Amino acid sequence: MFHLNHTAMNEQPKKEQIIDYLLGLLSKEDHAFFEEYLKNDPSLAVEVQQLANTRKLLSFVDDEEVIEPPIYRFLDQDTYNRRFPQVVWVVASIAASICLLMLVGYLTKFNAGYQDNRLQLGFGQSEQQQVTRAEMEQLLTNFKSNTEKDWGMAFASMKNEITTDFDASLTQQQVKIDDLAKGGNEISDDRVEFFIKQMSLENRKSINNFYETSTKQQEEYLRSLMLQFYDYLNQQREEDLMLVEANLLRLKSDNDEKQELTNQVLARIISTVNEQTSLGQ
Amino acid sequence: MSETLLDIAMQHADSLIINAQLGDGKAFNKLVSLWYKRIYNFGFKYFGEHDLAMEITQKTFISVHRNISSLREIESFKAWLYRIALNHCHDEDRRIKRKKVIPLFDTEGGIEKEANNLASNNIVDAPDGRLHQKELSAIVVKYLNQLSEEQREIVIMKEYEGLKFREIADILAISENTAKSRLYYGLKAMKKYFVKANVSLESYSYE
Repeated sequence: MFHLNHTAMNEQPKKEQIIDYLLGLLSKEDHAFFEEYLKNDPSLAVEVQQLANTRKLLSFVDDEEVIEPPIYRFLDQDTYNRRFPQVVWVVASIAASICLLMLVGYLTKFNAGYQDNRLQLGFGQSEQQQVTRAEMEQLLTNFKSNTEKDWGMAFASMKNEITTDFDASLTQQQVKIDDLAKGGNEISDDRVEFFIKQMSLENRKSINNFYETSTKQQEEYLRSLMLQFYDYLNQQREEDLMLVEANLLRLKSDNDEKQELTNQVLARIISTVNEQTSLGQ
Repeated sequence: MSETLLDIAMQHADSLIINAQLGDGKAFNKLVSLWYKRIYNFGFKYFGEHDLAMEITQKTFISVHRNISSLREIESFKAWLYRIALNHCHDEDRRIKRKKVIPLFDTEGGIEKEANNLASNNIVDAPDGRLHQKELSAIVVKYLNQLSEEQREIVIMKEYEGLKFREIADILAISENTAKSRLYYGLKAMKKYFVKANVSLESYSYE
């Protein structure tokens, strides 16, 4: 509050004094003195009146109505804004990683299953799983025809041996028959019977030899066939496992690369948001 | 301005402030309830825009929430609150000005010329030639925006927020005389706009 200099009537009141007068901040004494001064200074009186009118006009402006936000939302907003970025980015990065893995799995046709008490993983279509019964039969037929080429010579050799045995046996029997025929009337029934028995034994022996040889050869043949097929299946399995391992390594490498890129992008976003937040404060 | 019950309540909010400083969320919420509308209107008159006013209000109370424990004198809470609000207004003002396009050719006195043009428009265009409250409010807010930053904040704080000159001086870190001087020039500028726009007490319709 200003104390007017009552003695200095010629001095124009200062701006601060005018404001004090307008706002009613002058003492009773100063107020009276000021009003007395205004009577003697019409221009100042007009100015003061205009300022008073201006204040009056300003006072007609009402407050704007505003709906206060829910208190709990406001109070948590500060903490939420501070925690939100970290929570959002963690959740977003986890979700992004899961989406990325799903996308990669879809593109590489990754499949997983549980069969024969074993977890089976694979990429693309497995030939082994997709081979039908007809295809398997064809496969075995192909095997058989392929192995028959190898076994053809063996069979031919076996046939020659058997034929040679039979021919030799027939030649011996023919010699004996000729000897018998040369003996003429002196050949007895016993001798003929003995000869027939001997021939029969030799024939049986030849046939037995043939069957044994044949059975052995067949067993060897089948055994060889199954062994080769087994080797083929093993080879296919090893090739499939190598393919799976290669794809897994490639997938891991791609994923690591993408994870690194994602982390870099997220770190840049987080630092930008923090920067903007601190600037806004 | 006649005191309302709210005004009285705000004056006796010391216990709320103390409890809020101790971390009482409910007490802080009550403080927000008491002061939200005041700070919003402060921001609204400063910028003349609802969105900016809301933003300023939100930022103000976030700052208050973060720093209330550092307030030493409970009696100075009001000044402290408005200082925070004013700082946010200044920050926002600077941000808005940075976004404005700088004209290639500087037109001297361009802003003042524009303000004079604005003020010279005869705004009283109601059929009965009288202004109504809403129209007057819009005019006042528009003219307040034309004032310089120093004059605008003084006029708002004194004429609408009822702050004492001591408090205003404390907020703006100036003397009381300087605050009164700025108010004087602010009121003179507003008078000039009203005259040019032919807005007067006589043209205002009491409803």
